[in-house]
Amino acid sequence: METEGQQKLVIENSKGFLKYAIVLIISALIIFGALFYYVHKMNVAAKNALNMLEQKAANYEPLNENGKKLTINDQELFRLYREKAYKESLIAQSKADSMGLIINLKDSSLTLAISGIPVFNSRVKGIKMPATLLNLSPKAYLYFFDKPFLVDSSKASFEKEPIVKREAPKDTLEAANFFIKPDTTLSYRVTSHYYLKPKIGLTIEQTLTDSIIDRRYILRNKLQHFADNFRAVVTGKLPEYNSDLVIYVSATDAMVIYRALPRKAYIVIYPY
Amino acid sequence: MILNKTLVHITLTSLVIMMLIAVFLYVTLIQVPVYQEKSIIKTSQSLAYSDSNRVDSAKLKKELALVKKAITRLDAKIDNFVPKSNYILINTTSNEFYLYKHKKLIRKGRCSTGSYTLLTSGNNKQWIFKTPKGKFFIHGKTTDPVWIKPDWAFVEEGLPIPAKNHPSRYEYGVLGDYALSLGQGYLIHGTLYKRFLGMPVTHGCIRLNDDDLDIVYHTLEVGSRVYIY
Repeated sequence: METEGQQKLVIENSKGFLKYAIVLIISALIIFGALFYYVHKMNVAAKNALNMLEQKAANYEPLNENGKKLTINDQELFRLYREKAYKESLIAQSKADSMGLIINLKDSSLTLAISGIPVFNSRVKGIKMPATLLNLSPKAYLYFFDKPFLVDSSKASFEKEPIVKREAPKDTLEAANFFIKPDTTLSYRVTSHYYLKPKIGLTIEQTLTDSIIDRRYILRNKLQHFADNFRAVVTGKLPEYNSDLVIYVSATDAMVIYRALPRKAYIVIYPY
Repeated sequence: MILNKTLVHITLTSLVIMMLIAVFLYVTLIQVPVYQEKSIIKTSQSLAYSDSNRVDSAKLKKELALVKKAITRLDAKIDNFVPKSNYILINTTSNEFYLYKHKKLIRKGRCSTGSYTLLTSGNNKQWIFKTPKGKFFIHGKTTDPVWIKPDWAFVEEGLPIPAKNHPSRYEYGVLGDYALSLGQGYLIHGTLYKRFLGMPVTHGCIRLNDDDLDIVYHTLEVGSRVYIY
């Protein structure tokens, strides 16, 4: 038989637990609410990114072979116009006397070319194509891809020119003891970003593996991206949709490409 | 009793917090990008051009034929890009060369290119030892070349800079049997330091081993193209 005191203790305990559970549920609801709001904003950002690309092409009027306004309403016709756009782009790029890059994702190849002459070829080992590019209207597709993109700016996890500074030796003895052994080992992830005009992001980086370094790299990138977007949502801004075209090649090839391209290079892209 | 209650609360709270964090991270880091892509596909205008909008087939066939013809024309132009004459490609990142004769690769191997060393001397003079990139031509070809040492060669060795035509500026046998000039003092030549081939160690010139240099010298003519990247 429970005494009156014990019964009171049980009732007080259950009340305490109920309060505790309510607080937990309300906190969970707030967090889930915030999460849904974040997801909603991210979706709006993605749609907005596609709309912005479409808007850029709004005033563009592609012409057909007879010089009349082009309307593409057939898959095969669109495929042929994509191929034509790619080839026109190659010809336009060949007119520049500097090194350019040709990204042919149909052939899974990246090619460095000067005056149209291929000088270096790299096999693409992986692609991350943003849905914005995959879902462009034919008109917008032709607007973006029938001419080479111009690199507006670029950055990489390694130097464009690996300059080593050296002070002139005072005498022959000091000179004899000096020798720079070139460092050919890679102790970092090779990744390069190109900001193109018209506005499209391009990332060329070394193939991802299952190594801990790569997992950390991916997680760090995702967390950074999340932090930026979360900050934007909290401050009432629209987060940025990551519409970068990401291409994975070998580490050496990614370096060759970044170092070979001039700062304002022309890049031809044949996405599909 | 009170201790037990507190323990239960702490355990429960920790579990709930951990679960919430896990759900939060899963949704934000993994699911959000997937939702975003799906939302784009749903709203895409590209679907508007589906075959349901098909134009009449005769008109379409005509249009297709015209585009195909245009593509063939473009292909012919693109085919003409590759030079019929002999040329060489130099990769300064991997320090390799590729020699082409009549559009066919006939030789590839290791070379040495610029070290990217920035040499500074006390009197505010500086030199950067890099191989220039881009399209070049062979300006001239020489056998048994003599190296006329520029100022930096003395600065680098810790020696005083001699007068312009001083005998100490002339070095024989260090450039190998042949040299091909690319202009502005840049050469393709041989080397005494064969162990460094495949490494970026030069002052801007391109060094090859003796056999490779022999073939390159006899394949390329004055005016042949050199592509450095």
